[in-house]
Amino acid sequence: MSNLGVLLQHEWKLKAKRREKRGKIKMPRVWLYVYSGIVVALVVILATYLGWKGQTRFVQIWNFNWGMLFWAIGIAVQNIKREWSNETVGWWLALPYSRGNLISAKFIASLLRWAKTLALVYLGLFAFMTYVMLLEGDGAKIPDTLVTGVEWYVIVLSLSPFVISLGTVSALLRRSTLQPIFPLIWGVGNLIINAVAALFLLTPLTLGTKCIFILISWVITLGLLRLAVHLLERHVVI
Amino acid sequence: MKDPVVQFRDVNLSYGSRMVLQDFNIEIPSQQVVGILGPNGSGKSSFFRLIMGLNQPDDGEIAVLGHSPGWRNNHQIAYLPDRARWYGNHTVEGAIQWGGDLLPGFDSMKAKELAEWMEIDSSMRIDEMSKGQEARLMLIMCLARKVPLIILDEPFTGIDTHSRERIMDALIDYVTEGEQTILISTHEIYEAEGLFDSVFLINEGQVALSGEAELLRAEHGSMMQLVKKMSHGGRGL
Repeated sequence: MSNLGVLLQHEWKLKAKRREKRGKIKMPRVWLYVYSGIVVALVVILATYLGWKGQTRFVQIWNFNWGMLFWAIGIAVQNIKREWSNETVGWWLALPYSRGNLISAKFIASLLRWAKTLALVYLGLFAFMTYVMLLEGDGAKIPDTLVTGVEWYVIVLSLSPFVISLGTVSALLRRSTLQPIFPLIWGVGNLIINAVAALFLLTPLTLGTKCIFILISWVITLGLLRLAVHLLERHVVI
Repeated sequence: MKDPVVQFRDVNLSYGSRMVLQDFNIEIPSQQVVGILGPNGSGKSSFFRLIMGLNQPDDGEIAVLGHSPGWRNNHQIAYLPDRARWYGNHTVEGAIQWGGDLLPGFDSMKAKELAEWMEIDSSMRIDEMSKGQEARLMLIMCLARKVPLIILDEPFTGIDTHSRERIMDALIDYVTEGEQTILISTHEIYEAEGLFDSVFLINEGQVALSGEAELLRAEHGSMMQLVKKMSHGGRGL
């Protein structure tokens, strides 16, 4: 396996969460199940109510994708931040591999993890909508909803490389000698994400226009990843 | 005389307005166990990070094993960072596998032998280990590598006496058979000073004193006393 492959495997296996601090009491697993059960029960009650009431229109529900983009940033930031909070940054940066490989492994791992998370969110949403539509006796709408959902999944996933690279750069900037430009990059980056989300969610774009925006975002992604490598090579302080 | 393993010429390093190393000059001889000693904040860890290319100097020249520091050079160096932890989701076996996959010169068989000798159960998860067990594992990750330079930054900090003794025994056993250069920074000077062939005492970002360990001891008493004097403004040096 190539160096990048091994690094990617390592990143993929790492826990996304912060390592438990010594002395901190862990929430017993049984309570996690209890709370998860309560949340699922509330969702089922809500879906049953909507289905019983009828006339539910799943039009604006896709606006949740706006929030999804910010969730993706969080995953990327966490993936970098974890090296510092878990005190493994010395091992990570001392690895005898190009900084490009280190960043690529983190980027791809974040993207894969995010694709998985997003797919689970969408599956949950489909289950919810399908249940409501079946209760309403509107089963014929299900295929259309499924297609719309898949389209949104593809769009959000296509925009995710930009968002994840922005998260990666932001997390590194905060730990570098270039920290003063962090608010600028963060502010501009968030503005762009909001603008793109508004454009995709609130205006009727043609497929061609969508593709152009996505391609532009990929070009910016490459620039941001190059910046991340430069930060690791020259400016990150541990 | 062999080429020095590490050579710094007029190196300056600052973090913001704080000067960490100032006109720092040092030549580390090869195939020795070298003690890098000094009070807290004297610049020892920063010195190590510069060797690894993890931080960049403001100016000056650095040569490590004849090359500029950086990731391209790090396949020749085993580095135990200061205040480091290991990946919590690994088992000892997983850590050794990781070393075999990612660390050039890592000898998995030797790592397993060392783990057994240091009384670490190979199926144990890192996040269930005591700090001493984790410190022993991290030392194994460095000592199991066949590389010309090993850097151990505070390998004994915050660990229990039993683990410290185990680590010290491993080091003594290791340094007698190896041909590597080993740089060790530690505050546990009393226990470690017997390991050193030569010593560099760093204070306020500069090398305040250096030489063969035995000569320094004969001239100034124990290393511990020397560092204590340094911590109190260098009186009597």
